[in-house]
Amino acid sequence: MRPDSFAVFLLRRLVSGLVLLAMVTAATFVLITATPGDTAQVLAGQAGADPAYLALIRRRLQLDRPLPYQIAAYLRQSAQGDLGFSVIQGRPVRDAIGGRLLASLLLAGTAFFLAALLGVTLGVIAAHRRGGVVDAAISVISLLAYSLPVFWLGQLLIALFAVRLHWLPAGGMRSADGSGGFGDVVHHLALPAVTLSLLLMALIVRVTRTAMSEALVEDYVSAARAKGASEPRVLIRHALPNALRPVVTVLTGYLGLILTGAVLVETVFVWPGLGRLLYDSVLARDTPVLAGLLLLSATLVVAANILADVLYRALDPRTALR
Amino acid sequence: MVGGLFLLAMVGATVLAALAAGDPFQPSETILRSPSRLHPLGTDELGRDILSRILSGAATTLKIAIVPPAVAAAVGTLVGLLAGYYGGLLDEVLLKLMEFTLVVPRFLIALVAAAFFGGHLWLVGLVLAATFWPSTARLVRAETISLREREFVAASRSLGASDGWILSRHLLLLVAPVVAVNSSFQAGQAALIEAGLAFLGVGDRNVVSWGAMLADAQSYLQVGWWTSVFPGIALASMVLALNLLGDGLADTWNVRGREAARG
Repeated sequence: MRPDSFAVFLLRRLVSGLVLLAMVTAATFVLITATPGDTAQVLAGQAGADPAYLALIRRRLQLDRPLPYQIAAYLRQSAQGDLGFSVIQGRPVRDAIGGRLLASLLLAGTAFFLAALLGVTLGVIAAHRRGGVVDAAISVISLLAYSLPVFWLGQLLIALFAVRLHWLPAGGMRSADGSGGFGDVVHHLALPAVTLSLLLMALIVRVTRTAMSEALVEDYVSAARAKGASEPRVLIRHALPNALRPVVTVLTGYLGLILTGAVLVETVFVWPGLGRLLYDSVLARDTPVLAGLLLLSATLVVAANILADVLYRALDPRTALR
Repeated sequence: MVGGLFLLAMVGATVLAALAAGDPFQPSETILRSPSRLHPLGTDELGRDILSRILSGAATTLKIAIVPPAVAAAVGTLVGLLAGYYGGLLDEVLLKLMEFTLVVPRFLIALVAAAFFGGHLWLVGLVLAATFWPSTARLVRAETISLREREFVAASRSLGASDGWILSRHLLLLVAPVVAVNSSFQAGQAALIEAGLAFLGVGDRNVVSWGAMLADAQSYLQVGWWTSVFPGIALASMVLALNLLGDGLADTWNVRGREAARG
């Protein structure tokens, strides 16, 4: 069989990704329509509102149209970048989400960076010292990080660093007096970013350790050692690139989850990100925002999967030949 | 195997608690009292005994950690065996479904469902079982595909064994370790998700939940460290025990561990 060219491969992934997104949107709509409670009633403010008023709201929001029509209309609009209007927030969904995007990207990006850096480093060290005390210690740390509930960990960090030591603020993104600039934000970012990064770091430590242990017994590593390469060079230049594939899988697997997956962390630390927005819109029954966030989250997952495939090819040229 | 022993201890403690402990919902005058002889782990902001509440919460956590993964294991194994063994349409549908459940994180589905329909424990369990089984099925499917071409299957068939016999007597036993490892990790996840929902205030209010205890504690971190520390230790040790169990089983049966089982 002739291998697909990269463009064909990419195109196929894009199409299947779009189909998947359409399915997710349809499912979101079905879920939201199936829920008890009536959007028009919520908007009208009270039960027993004037029926004519309710009908007007329904017509305005096209709630009187059949579901498939609503889904199709929503998909058409969102493809053009219009995610609808949040009556509860009194502004377009795009603005509601856009207003939180920066905070989320800052938190998620920092957590990702920390997790990747620490995770790969610790994983390489553990594989290098396999079976020793250092390896055991790293395993225990990653098992703990994997098992601790993030919201509890967050509480403990607040109790220690904010309440007791007064080193770091307990929550929010900026100081209330508005004095702070970049340094102030970093100050606020430290605790939530560390909390959010731990689980991901634990996973990366584990996959890096396993993959590195496998790579380190390969012939090309012995060859590199035999020709006199230094140990760091063997680890980083020879073994690591071949061990990165599972790391990429974990990282990209979490890329889509991290924006909305930070719901708990953002709640504990009162961080004004998308996770918190999601939680608030669930409680307020703000379905347009909720649908927008779910679509955004699903889009990220699909994009991350495609990115993973691209990275696999970049990391391992053999993949392209298969 | 430490994990397994710990779990047994937890189950034992829960049973004892059901028989012996005080009422976890009983308020009293002695609010936010630090640990003492009367209240070994202190009292919360309504004067309820934290030890009683932790023991009662263990029952909640155990239910959610055991039932959904068990249901998912049963359904997932059945579908995975059939899809892997026969291939065809079932296989196609399973793969699509798998992709679908991976796109929307299960915590989000559970959050939306719990907030919209009321977070009854059985509803959360249902969402978890519904989102756990496709990943179980995918693992079983992959195992089955690698097993079905093996010689012992051909041998069995040449002796006149039916498909049903091969599936139930040979393949089922061989995929069981993968399922057991996967279920242990799912159990840990289930415990965390239930606690997370309760922490966000959309959990079941009719049962004691460690997550809800931690949510209550958030406002009293400054004056009552025990309201947060003890429920947190309980939850963390439960999840740790389940993960250790999974790791232990994976080592014993030489199954690829958490990385493969995640998702």
